[in-house]
Amino acid sequence: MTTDPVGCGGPASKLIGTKLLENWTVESRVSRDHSHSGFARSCCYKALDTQGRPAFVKAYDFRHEDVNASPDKLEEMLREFNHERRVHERCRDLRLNRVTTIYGSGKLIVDGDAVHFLVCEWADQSLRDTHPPGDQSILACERLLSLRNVAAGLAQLHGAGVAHQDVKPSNAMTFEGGVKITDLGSSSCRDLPSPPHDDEWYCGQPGYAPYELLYRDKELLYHDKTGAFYRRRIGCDLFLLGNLAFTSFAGYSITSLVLHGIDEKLRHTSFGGEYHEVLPYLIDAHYRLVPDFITFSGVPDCIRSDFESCILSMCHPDANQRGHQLNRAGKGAQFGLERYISAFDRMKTRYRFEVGRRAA
Amino acid sequence: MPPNDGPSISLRNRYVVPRWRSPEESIDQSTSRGKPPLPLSKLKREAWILKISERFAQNPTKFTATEYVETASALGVEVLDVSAINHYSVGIDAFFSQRQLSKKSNLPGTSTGSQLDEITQTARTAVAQLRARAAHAPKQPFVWSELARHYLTLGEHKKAKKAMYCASSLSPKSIYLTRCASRLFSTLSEPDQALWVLRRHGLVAHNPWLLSAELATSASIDKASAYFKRATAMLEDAAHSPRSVTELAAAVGSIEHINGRHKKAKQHFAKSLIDPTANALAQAQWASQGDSKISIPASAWAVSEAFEARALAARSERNWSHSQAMCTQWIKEEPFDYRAAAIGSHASFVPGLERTCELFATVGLHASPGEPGLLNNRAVARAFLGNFEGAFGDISEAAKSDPKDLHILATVGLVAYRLGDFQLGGEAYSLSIAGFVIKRDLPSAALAALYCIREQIRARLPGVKNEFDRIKRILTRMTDKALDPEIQTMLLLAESEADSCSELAYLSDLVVSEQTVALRGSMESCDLVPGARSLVTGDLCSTGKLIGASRILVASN
Repeated sequence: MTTDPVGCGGPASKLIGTKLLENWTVESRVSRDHSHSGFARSCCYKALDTQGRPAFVKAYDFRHEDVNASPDKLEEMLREFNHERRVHERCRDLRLNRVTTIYGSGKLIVDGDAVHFLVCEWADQSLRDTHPPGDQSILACERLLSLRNVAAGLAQLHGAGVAHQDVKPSNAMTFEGGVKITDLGSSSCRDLPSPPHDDEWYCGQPGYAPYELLYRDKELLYHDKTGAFYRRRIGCDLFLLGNLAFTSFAGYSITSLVLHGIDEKLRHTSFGGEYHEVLPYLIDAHYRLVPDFITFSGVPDCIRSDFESCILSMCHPDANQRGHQLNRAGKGAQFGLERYISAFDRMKTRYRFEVGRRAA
Repeated sequence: MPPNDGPSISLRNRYVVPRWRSPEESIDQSTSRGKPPLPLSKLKREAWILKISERFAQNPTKFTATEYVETASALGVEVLDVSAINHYSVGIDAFFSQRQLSKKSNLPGTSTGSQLDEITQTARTAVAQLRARAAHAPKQPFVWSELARHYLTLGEHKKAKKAMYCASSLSPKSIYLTRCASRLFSTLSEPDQALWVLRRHGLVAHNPWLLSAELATSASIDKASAYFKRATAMLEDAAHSPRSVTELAAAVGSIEHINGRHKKAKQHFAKSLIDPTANALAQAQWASQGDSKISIPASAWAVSEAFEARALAARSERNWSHSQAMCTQWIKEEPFDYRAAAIGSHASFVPGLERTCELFATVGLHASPGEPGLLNNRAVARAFLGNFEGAFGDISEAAKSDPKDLHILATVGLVAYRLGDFQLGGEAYSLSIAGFVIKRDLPSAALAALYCIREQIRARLPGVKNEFDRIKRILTRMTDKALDPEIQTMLLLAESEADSCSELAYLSDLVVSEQTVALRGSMESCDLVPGARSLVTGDLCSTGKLIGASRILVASN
C-alpha cells in the first residue's frame, strides 16, 4: 500500500487524527485497490489502537451521493456497504482465520456529515508485492504455500456460504502467519440479501474472469436458485483460484492466454452467439496452450505434471467439467477445494525434497 | 475408357453438402449474427481502465502492464500506451512464436505428386497425435472430430464413425460438429443417418447453416425437404447476413435449378454470390455449366481457397493442368472427398497427366477403398503408363463391385488395345458404347467412342480415318451442342494424333512379352466381355433400339 495524500475533498477525507470506536486512532491516508470500482467517495486509512496494533480503515461519504447523485445510486452504495460489512461480520463470527478480520464498523460525524467506516485487519503487502507473478526468483515452494493458504481461505468462505468472486494477487494479503484473503466487496453470500453487484455478470477484475461469465452463458441462469449460486459463483471462485495459481507462475492470466489462442471472431468482444458454440474452441485452446505455457514459464519439472493437472481441472472452460476428477466422480462436492489444498501441500513438499536432494 | 462418374456419387449432380475442414478453418459457421453487448456499463469500464492504468503509471512493471492490457482486452478497450503493450507482448509473443517454429513445416511439396504422396502420411501422423491427446484428456470434442476426419481419409470408416459419435455427444449443440457429422454420413453413403443428425438438432429450422445442409442432403437422395418453405422465408429475412445465408441460397437455388425453375434459381444464386463461401461458389460454378444465365461476378472469385470452383472452371476451359493443380489443393483440404479424387483422376487422356491421375485415384482409394469409379480411373491411367498388370488388377477389383459396369468394360477395351489385342479391344468398346446408348448416357458413349478411335489411330488400323470422320459426324448428331470439355479435348487430341502418328512409331511401341501374352489371355477369359455381350445383346433385342446402336457398332468395328 502507498500513502495517498490526495484527498477526495469530502468529510471522509478528514479523518486523520480522529478516534474510531474509542480504540483506533487514524494515523495516515493510504491508497488501496477497491473491490468495487463504482465507489467514488471512499478513503482508506491506517489506524493504530492503544497497543499500537495497526488496522485498515475504509471510510465512506454517502452524504455527497445523497445531495448530488440519484436515489438509486445512493441506495446502491448503501447496500454495497452494508453487504461488505455483513459478510465480514459473518466471517468474524464464524472465526474464519484465513480471511482478514473485521474489528468493527461505525459512524462518525465530520463537519456535520455522517461518515461510515469499517475497521479491518491490517496487512502491509499483498502477494502481488511479495511474490510478483511471473518472477522466477521466487521459490516455487513459497508460491505453493501461499496458494495453499489462499485455497484454505477460500474453502472457509465457501463453507460459510460466501463466494469471493474477486480472487487475484492483490486480494491475498501476507501476514506473519501466512496469507489471508481480503476484500469481500465483490462477494456474494447465499444467506444474505443480494447486493447490487450480483446483477452484474461479473464484478471482479475482468482480466481474470472465467469464460462463461465473459460470454454471458445464459444456461447459468436456468438452474434453481441453489444450483445457480453454486455453479455460477462457487464455480467462478474455483476458476479464479486456478487462475491465481497459473498467474503466479506464468505472469499472465489464463483467461487472456486462452482467448489470445482462439480466433478474434470467437472472442467475447466479437462473438454474439451462444456459449456452447464457442466452448469447443475454448476447450481445444485450453488443452493445447496451457500445458505448453506452464512448461514455457519454467515451472519446476518435479511438480509440473501435478500442477498442470490442477490448473487444467480448476480452469476448465466448461463449468460442468471443472473441479477435481475425484470430486466429479461423485466423491465430494464438485467444486470442493480440499483436494487442491492437499495437492499444493504435496507439491510444496516434493519441491523441497528435490531441492534438498540436489543440494546434497 | 471414359473415366467413371461413380456408381455411388454422380459427378453430374452437385449438392451443397457441408465442407469438412478443421475447426479453425470453419469459424464462419459458429459466428452468429450481431455483436455482443460489451462487458459492464460504460461507466464501470472506464472506472476499471482508469484504476488499472494509474496503477501501471505509478509502478510500471511487467505485471502491472500485463494486468492493464489484459483488463483492457477483456473489456474490449484498446490500449494506447505503447510501453504497456511492449511489456505485455514480450512473453506472450515469444510463446506463440516458439509454437509456430516448432510446428512442422506445412509448405506444399514442389510437385503435385509429392503433395499427393504426403496426404495419407499427414493423416497417419495426425491420427497418432490426436490419439495421444485423446488419451491424455478424452473430453475434447474437436480432438474426436479431427480424428474422425483423418480416419475417413485413411478409409477407416468404422473408427471414423465412432470418433464422430464421441465428438457429437461431447458437444451436441455445436453447429459445426453437427454439419461435420452429416458430411461424414453423406460421404459414407448413409444419407438417412446424415439427415437424422441434422434434424435432431434443435436449431435446424432456425440456423441457415444447418438448414442448407438439410436441404442439400435431402436433395441428394431425391427427397423433398420439409423445411423448403422455411428456407425460402429465411432468405427473405434481412436479419441474416449474406455470408450466413450463402450456402442456404445456393441449396435453394440448386433445387430450383434441378426442378426447372431457372428464373428463381438465378435469383437465389445471385444472392448466394454476394458473400459466398468456397462451397457456395463451387455450387454456382456447377450450376452455371448447365445454365448459362447463372453468372458469377468477378468479386465472388475473391473468396479464398475456392479450389473446387476453380477446378471446375478450369475443366470448363479445358485447362487440364490447372484443373489438376486446383484438385490437388482441394484434395489436400478434403482428402476423403470422392469428387476431388474423381475429377483429379479424370484427365489421364491428356498426355503428361497420367501419373498424377494415378496418384489422385490412389489417394481417393485410401478414403474410399474399392470404389469402382476410382479403380477404373486408375486403371485407365495405368494403361496409359504401360502398367498393364496394375491396370488389370484394378479392373478385376472394380468388376467385383459391379460386373455390368460399362465404364469398366470400356477400360478392358483400352487395355486390350494397348496390349495389341485389337479384336478384344474393339469388341469391348463396341459393347460398352452400345450399352451407353441404350441407357441414354450419350456423353459416355461419345467419350468411349473417342477413346476407341484414338487407340485405332494409334494402332494405324486400316480405314481408321474414315471411321474417325464418321465418328465426328455421329457425335455432332448424337450429343448436345455444348459438348463436355472431355469430349472436346479428346476430339482435338484424336485429330492431332491422326495427323502425327506414324506406322513405324507404333511398331516400336508395341513390345510383346510373355507377360503381355499372359495378360491378354487373362483379359479374354475375364467375365466382363462375354457378360456384357449377352447383356447388351439382350437389351438390343428387347428394346428394339437397333438403329443408333448398330451405327456405333459398325463405326467401332
